[in-house]
Amino acid sequence: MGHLVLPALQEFITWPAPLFLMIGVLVGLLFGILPGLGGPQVLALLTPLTFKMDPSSAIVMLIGAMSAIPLAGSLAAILLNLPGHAPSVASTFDGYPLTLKGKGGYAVGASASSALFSAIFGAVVLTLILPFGEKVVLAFSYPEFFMMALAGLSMIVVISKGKSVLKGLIAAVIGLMISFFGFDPITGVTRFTFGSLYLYNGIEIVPALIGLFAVSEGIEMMHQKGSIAGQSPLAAKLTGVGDGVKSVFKNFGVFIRSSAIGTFMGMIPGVGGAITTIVAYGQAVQTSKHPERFGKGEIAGVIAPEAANNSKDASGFVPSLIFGIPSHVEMAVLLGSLTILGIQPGPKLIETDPGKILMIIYALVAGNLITAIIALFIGGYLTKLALISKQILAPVILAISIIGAYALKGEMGDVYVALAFGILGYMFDRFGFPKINIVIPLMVGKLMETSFHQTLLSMGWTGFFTRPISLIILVVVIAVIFFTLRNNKAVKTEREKVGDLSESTKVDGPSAV
Amino acid sequence: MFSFHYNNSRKGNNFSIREKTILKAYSNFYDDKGEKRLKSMRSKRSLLKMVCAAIGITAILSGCGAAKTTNSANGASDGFPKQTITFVVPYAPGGDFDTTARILAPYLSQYLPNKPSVIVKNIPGGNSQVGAENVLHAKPDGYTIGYFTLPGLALGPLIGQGEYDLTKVEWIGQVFNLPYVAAANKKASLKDIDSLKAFPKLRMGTTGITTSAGLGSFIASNELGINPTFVPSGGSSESVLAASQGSVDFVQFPYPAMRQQLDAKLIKPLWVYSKERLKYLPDVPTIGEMGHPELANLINLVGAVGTTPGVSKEHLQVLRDALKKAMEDPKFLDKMNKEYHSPEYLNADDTLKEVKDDIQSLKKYADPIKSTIKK
Repeated sequence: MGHLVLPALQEFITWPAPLFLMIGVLVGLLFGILPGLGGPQVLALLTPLTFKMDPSSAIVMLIGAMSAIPLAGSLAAILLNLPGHAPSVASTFDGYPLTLKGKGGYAVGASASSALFSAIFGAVVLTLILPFGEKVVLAFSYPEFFMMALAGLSMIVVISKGKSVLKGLIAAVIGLMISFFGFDPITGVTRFTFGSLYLYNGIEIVPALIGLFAVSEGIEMMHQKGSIAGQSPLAAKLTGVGDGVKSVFKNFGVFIRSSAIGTFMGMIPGVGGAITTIVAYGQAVQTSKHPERFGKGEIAGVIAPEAANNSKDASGFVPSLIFGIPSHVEMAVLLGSLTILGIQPGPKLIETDPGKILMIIYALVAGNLITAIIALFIGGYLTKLALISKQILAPVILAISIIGAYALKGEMGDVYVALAFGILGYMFDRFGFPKINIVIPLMVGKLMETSFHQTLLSMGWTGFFTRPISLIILVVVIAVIFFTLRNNKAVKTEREKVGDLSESTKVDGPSAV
Repeated sequence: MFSFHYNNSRKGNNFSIREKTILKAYSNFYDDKGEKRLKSMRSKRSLLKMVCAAIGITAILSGCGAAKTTNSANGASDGFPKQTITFVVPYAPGGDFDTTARILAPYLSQYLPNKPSVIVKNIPGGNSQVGAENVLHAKPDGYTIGYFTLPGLALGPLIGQGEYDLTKVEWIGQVFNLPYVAAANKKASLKDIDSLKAFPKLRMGTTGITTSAGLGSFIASNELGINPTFVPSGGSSESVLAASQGSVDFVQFPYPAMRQQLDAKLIKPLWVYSKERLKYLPDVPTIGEMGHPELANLINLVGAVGTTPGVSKEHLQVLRDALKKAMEDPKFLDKMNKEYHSPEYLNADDTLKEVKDDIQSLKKYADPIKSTIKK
């Protein structure tokens, strides 16, 4: 592939390819920032346009659109608590609290630069690993999927450090229960569908997230005065984008680890982007010296999910290009478009058409670069949203949320789900239940259940323990939980010695025993 | 409470009447620094405009997929079609049905009178039942057409899942008929039906039993007399990957879903469910050669286009003619074949006949499938 690096680059920068890249990125940004619309929709809409284009321009346009989606989604998540796609939910955890403090620009800067550098990281790894990718993809089967889902679920323990255990557990179990709605993927039996065809496929994750975060925030704003950034001393100058860029280098360890997690998990088809960003976020909490700051506006909590989100998109090309196996829905649509363009993803692509692979990698990097520059440029202005009166912003957020939920599939059921979860999320906020705990099981529940059954059917229960990778992940998960709980206890006894009986400790008391 | 100075003519305070009105309206929210507020509000307003534009764009984009089909003259052939035709795909984007619909849409448009837009709308859910119900209950004007999945959809009513009647659909024609390929993990010592029967603890990768592929696996194992453990997954690509890894031993899916793994020799083909050998797998025997020719018609994946019951004869004829012409266009066929989508045209009557045949031959499997689900 080495000898093609320059010719492919030349083709890549030959007019009109850069123009199509730009068009792709702009369309992608627009679709990404609006909830409900995302990669699958933008690619499906662009595909018919590519029929008459030359393949290089078409690839560049499609990849450009794809590469703009994650960061655009994060912008809405950070600034409006509006996660339009499942993977961007982790960006709300610390991104939105930063906006509340009047530091939206800081968060956007960190998010954009983290996204850009991790995409480059992912692209480099993708280039190096493609020749060996086959072995990686073949090594992960049902037991490994189960363990990854378990790792995602265990992040609840890490993220809930020092918070009410009882409330955390209640929220997690509610989430797990909701994730089991719909037909059992193994036996075909339907559960909790109440005779509704909509519930047959279970609760759709995106409207649930829109409800939990954006709708509940909209309701909350309705009875508040002032603006999002409120009376914060920083509200007057909402810039800090540059500081945000610097923060990535100050938290370089978190950035590199998150990119590595994203790259690794992105390569495994079927794991899903949402778990990846959650695991990266949990990792940031776990390794931080100040875990108590997370959820209240810690910049590492913005950098981590962003890095994982973009690097996973790059490495997601490994299974797609080598096996033609889509790592997520977006990739499924892209694979369809590529085959129409006469590019056959598959084991032979590296031998028959390596130039096209390089083209994809270039477009990925350049698309992320343009997206990041645009985000940094408009980020400062977008943060001014935080200055609008909540009385005005609340109905706008509610309207965007509801239209977004509808836009996903044009299904009224999704709108009802968004509204119901909006009320649920509002209640959670009111009574101090952690929303993250309901989100994580909602996202991993189905994968966990399915892969558990599949392991039992194909390998028996020993399958979990006899396969080395599965066993290693299990040991890591147990170790993480063990050390987190031990730390928790240490923190607690220390607090009690000092006599600091804060409200949360009182609530923790009985359940922690 | 609010001292209002907009009448004084200090430099730089030339607010427009509209702004003054806004200033007045907002006087309840803001304190006595009205002028300063208004200045900052100018920028806030432009932001607000942006936000409103965003809402508008979302609304428009989400509306794209759901073009309204009002004021159509039902029953009259005069000038049909006058507006956008919605082509319902009962699955999420990506996959055989979505891709072929997107290839077909522009050709349909080209061969319809007035060349209306043909828009693909994905309505996934319930093993393609949600999309089918949408077409069945649309306004019977011919502006909503859709893909129907066979034989999967034929099973639903037989086992009490779904109350639609496929024989009532106004068929426009069949677009593709994908043959299934049976394949085994390269290391498993499987080569024919007998070796499958003899294989200890045979694991068969499949999808849910009510999907076309799951149904095919069930029928095949029944008719061939093999007794595997079914290991279902959410989609064909997951199952085929499992077969490449050796997590399952045996799978059967439409050729496009397995092509890459077959090319890479991670799985080896055993036989194909078609009447003749496939031109891209010339060395692989047909199921007929293995002694079960009746399965060639039963185990396949068919995409047929139909519309709402009650559409007028004239409108139906227009749609049927357009599909026929599109299916004869060599450029369309070339695009379909490039992706191994096995285009195979059947006219409306033959499609209906095939639907009836499917329902008839599936009847005997209804009870065993029901009891499998209950377990």
